[in-house]
Amino acid sequence: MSLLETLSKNTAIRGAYDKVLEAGFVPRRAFAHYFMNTEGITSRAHLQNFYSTFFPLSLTDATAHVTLCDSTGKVIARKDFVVPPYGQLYLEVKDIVGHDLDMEGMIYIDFEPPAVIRKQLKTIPGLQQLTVQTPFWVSYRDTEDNYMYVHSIESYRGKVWGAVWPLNQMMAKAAPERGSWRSWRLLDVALLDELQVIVINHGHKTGTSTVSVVGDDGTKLWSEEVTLSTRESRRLVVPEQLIAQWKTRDDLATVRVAVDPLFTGNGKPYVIMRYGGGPWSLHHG
Amino acid sequence: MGADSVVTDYDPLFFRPCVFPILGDLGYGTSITFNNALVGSTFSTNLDVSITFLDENGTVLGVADNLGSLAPGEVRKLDTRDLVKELGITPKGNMLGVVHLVPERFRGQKLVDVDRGELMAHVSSSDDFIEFRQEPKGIITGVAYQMGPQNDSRFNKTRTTLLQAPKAIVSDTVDTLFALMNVSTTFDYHDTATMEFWLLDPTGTKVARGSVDVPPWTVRFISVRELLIDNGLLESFIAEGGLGMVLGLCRNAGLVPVSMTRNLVSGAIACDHTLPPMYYFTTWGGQKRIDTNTALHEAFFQDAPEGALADVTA
Repeated sequence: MSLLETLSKNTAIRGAYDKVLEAGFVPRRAFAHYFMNTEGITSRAHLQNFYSTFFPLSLTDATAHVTLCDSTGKVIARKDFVVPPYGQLYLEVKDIVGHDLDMEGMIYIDFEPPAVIRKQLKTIPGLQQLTVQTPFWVSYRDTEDNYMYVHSIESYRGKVWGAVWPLNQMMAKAAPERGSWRSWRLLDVALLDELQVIVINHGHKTGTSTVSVVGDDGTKLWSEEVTLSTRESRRLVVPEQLIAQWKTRDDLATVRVAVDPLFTGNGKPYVIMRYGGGPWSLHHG
Repeated sequence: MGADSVVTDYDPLFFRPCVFPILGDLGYGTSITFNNALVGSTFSTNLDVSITFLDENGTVLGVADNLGSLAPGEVRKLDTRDLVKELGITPKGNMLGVVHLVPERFRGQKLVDVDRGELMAHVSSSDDFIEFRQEPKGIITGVAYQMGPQNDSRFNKTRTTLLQAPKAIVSDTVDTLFALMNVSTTFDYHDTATMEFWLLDPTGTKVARGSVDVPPWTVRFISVRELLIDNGLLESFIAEGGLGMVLGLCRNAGLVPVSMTRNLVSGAIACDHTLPPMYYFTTWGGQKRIDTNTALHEAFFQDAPEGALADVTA
């Protein structure tokens, strides 16, 4: 049983915590994405002031705290943006860093609720289990305006905002669940020109994992062991010669990407492909 | 098995469905990769596979019911163009496809008793991938999603849809579509859904308003580009950056939205689903959801200026 679970069973602590929650100190996690401004691809973060839609009678500005990291996990820029009611943010590297920059790495955004919203969080059912999250999208486009999109699936686990300090600390240091994962998307070998797999460590501690491509029968066709520190990302390129070999095999119609184990619970990789001479396609694994 | 945990008289075809748009009218082939992902559970079982095709009016055109079954852990990919051809269906308009994954023990039965825990275990482990293809151009892309029971009062106490998607991208060569699917757990579902929506600019200012009716068992599209053209705003919107958000509210049905940002020249298409409220507030739901959507309608949609309504039903 974790320390958090133990504490939650103590009546006195539970009562005190309920009052803290009702005062608006609810834990908040920032979703994170892979951000790419290299290889002819421009990334853009898309975020809306969602407090307007969930609290439409309390329209107010809200502040987005944006953090951009390089591929080693090092923070290269932090910047705040005020988003008006029903407004949106569309952020590229130059908006965050102040100038254009060849980079790739993790971006995470904490979208802080203003006081008038914090006071109303207690009206949401299941307050004791409530976590506020800050989903946003990232689009990727090439120089021909061919777009790719991803939605939020995993938060940066190494920091928690909004709750009282000890809880923030405990939640941010909780060990992530790490399970084996294999994509349910089948990639057509006959048409495949390029395949890249991007893994990110959303956790707070260094981890090691094996990234693979497996065949129809589960046979490992390619793999690479990766060790990543917190916030670090790695874009792995499957050798084109290997893909060419796969195409010569009659017994290999499709392949799948696998990661064993994921660095965090839902930290599935991003996959870049090129089919039949077309533009890149990028999606969650 | 407690009484509350069982849903009686349930059509087993919708035990673990995946409903998807077939973008024939837009010039894309559509493939579907589906799975029996529940492995090592007491609920793990073989699932029979069939696919139903519906026309743009929601009428069933044909059923591919010779597709065998999937053992736990198995995955399969099918190109709907092949199946449609085999069934002798002449593709017309934007059709819907429904993959039915049904436990073997329900084979041949019209209505069954379903354990909620078992059904949700299968749904929550699923991750079906819809793929849109233009092979000569090398365009093959798509999106993965899960689909639980839709528009069935035994599973959904509220039938509302809030669409908030800051993904409306428009340029000289790019349009963004929002596909809206209105489906249920029976083909006898007859409710037409209506979504009101506004296109907002990045400052949150209302740009153009629309409304779309989605008949049962159909997909309809909001084209941001057409909305702007209809309102004479295309050039000015692009000049201001061509970025905005569609905020939509449907108060009589659960709709399944998928956004598609499409390059009109190359055919490249970025697909993604929007995110339900629980992605924002992990315990959102129930009466709070109903009250908020009512307040949002009154505060945001009812205050719209008269005469701003533009019907963009595709």
